[in-house]
Amino acid sequence: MIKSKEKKKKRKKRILIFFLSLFLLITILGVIFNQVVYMLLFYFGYSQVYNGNNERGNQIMSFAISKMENPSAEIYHALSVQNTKNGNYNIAMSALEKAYEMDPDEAGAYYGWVLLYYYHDYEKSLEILNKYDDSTPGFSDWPMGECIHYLKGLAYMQLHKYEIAIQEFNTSIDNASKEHGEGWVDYQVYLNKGICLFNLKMHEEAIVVFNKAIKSNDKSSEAYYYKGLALLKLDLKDKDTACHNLNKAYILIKQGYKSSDTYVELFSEIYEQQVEQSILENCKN
Amino acid sequence: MKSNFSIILTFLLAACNSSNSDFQLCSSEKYPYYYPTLYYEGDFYEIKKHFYDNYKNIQSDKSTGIVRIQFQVNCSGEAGNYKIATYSLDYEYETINQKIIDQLLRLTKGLKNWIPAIDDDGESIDSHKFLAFKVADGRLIDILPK
Repeated sequence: MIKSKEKKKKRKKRILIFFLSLFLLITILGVIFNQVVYMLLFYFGYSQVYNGNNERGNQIMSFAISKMENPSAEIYHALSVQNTKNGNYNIAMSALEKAYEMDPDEAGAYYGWVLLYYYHDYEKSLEILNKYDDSTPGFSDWPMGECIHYLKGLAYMQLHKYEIAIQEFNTSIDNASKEHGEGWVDYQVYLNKGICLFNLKMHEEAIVVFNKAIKSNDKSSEAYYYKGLALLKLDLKDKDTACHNLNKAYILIKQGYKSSDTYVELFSEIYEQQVEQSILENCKN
Repeated sequence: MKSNFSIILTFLLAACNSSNSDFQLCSSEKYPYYYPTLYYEGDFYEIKKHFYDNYKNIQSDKSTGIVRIQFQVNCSGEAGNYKIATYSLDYEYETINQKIIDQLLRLTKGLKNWIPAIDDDGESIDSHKFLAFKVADGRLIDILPK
């Protein structure tokens, strides 16, 4: 009985020593490598927001930044990314503004891109993308892996400035064709150019461009869908061909051939219900 | 020394959890909202339809800006823990007419067909998500992100 009590006492003592040592170690490491500790703390907060613990994660990141000697543009960029992904727009944008002030070349690419896709802030996106594009004259930039002229085309398209959008898509097509050949042009560029032509009621021209999109990607349900709609506008004689294209789009979607993104809705994204509706309205016998 | 205590305090704060009402998560484990993916029956098409078909324009002061609603969806597809923030179109905190907020919250709570995310072991899990509504002069003009 006495032995057991002594054992428990010893165990308690060991646990106490362990925690005191740990505390001492953290304190010493904190004094010597405090900047590293703040960096680790920042990324701990980052992972919290990543997992949806927004208030807690932002408190930790904000505290860590306040203790950093010279927080870099990268840190503000990281703070912005996680908050954009969770809809904390005020934190995301003020952090991105800071990153952009500190390193416009690096942050500008992401800034213009994220304003377009995640915020649908087309005017501001164009402002940033144009500045970014102008900073490298004679060179076609690829912010976040996408042709800058394609991105600008999308922004103009969303602002219903279809003629300018088409010019930007054409520049994107020309650049890709010159560098790698026409086969390398992404079908999405043709698709969105075709949608602009469609909206300008230039249906025949739109069909030519949708055919190019299909040549580039013969599983593009979007290209078949819009081609079908354009054919319907042309002539009632083409109704069968139009319905054939709409049905093809429907089958492709059912098979899972549909462009989408994990985070955001694409500008030319279509849905099964939408195609089904078009078929019901136009292709009833 | 003082700052080290602050770090420890921050860690301790991080261990705390907050939740509300009758809504229960299935686990304390959380995942980023995009993986494993939470779905809605009929995709974003049905979400947009739900809001655009049912939202009623409200003419009033403070009727332009962004209403953001974060929420969680548990492993049974039930939603709860709604958190609201309102911003100007320049992404700064701004007050927006309460009737607009109430209407958008009610409609968000009306989304009943969540399909819970499935993890690598085939188990249904909890998720979190947000929807942000752009409103101009009391009209619903955009829904982000999807």
